[in-house]
Amino acid sequence: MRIACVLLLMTSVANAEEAVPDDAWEPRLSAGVGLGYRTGDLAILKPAGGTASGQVELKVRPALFIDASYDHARGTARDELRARDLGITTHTIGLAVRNPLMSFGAKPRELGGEMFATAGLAREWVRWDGGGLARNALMLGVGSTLIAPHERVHRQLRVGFRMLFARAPDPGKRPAGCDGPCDTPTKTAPYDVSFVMEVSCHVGR
Amino acid sequence: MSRRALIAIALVAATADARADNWDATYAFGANVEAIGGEAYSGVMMQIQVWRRLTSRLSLSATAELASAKRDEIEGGVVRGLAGVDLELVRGRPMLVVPALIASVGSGTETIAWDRGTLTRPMSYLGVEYRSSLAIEPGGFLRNLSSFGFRFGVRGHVAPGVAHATVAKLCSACSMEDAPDRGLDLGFVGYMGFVFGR
Repeated sequence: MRIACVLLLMTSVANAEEAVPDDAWEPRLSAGVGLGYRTGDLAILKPAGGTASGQVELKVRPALFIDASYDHARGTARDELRARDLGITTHTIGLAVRNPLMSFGAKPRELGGEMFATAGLAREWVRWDGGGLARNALMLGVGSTLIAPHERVHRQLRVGFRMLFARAPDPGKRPAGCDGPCDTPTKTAPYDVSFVMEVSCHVGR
Repeated sequence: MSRRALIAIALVAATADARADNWDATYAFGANVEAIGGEAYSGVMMQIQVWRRLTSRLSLSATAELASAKRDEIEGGVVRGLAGVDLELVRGRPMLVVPALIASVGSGTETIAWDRGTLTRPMSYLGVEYRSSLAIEPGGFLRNLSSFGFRFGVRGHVAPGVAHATVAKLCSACSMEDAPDRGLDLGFVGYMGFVFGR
């Protein structure tokens, strides 16, 4: 009988330990910095270069976060006709929601991780030798988080991939036409797509 | 979708037992082959799909796809938005995973953006896919997930042909001339990916 009581107590203690509140798994507020590589289109140009970014994230529900981010990209742009590459710099601020598709880990703040998806809007300012533009963009991304164990602070390493869709600028005197079967001739593809690969470190409470 | 198809779907929905009531999301990668203006183009495809289970066998799906279409030196980006219904034709005996064979039918639009010029057209599709899902117990090692699975499938689609394909490819200003018989363009995609049940 005593043994049965001890087993029952142990089981109930174990069950109490397992009941981790949903809110305990992720930090309420976190901040991070990252480095990455950005490539894509700017009308007929093909910019590419490194990026540095900063991000602040607020948890609004156990599995829903709002991210505010700033991204600085510096690189060069080229096309088939240009003799030399153009220097190009892009500043991007974005606001996005992030949702973990799948999370894993036995306890909060122990080794674990998640796969996530993000969606949001961004504003980017592009400057190159002799010109510049500002435009809005749609931002979609996916990534993975690795949670590094720590007793007091949430520490995360994220590897992510983002795509930005923005209206392409008018490339000037280029004639409108169709490079494939089409019903609407244009001077260039109507939208530019940029790709950003990024690794970032985050801490939060 | 025809009235007969809608009646058939309604009958299936009415007779099926209302077992589950959940959302599933999936991403998949695959190959895209399609005729555009009567000429074959091919490329890769990325798909994001969300479906809502109405009954144990019937669900509504919304699909977004990004694909490429390449032929010789011509390459375009394809964006598709599709909506349809998925019908579970066969469900295997539940073991560690639950295998199922799904038929899907629906319609939507696709926009193809070349380096210059765009083409937007409606399209309809019919497909079949295999899914197998593993139920995730709540409170375990995996969180934010009720099931996790794998899927692969094939899908055929049909879209109106392009009236001015030849003219548009040869000119720079695209003055439209006599419209030939448009016909139909057929397409085919094959894909595989992961399913996240919520």
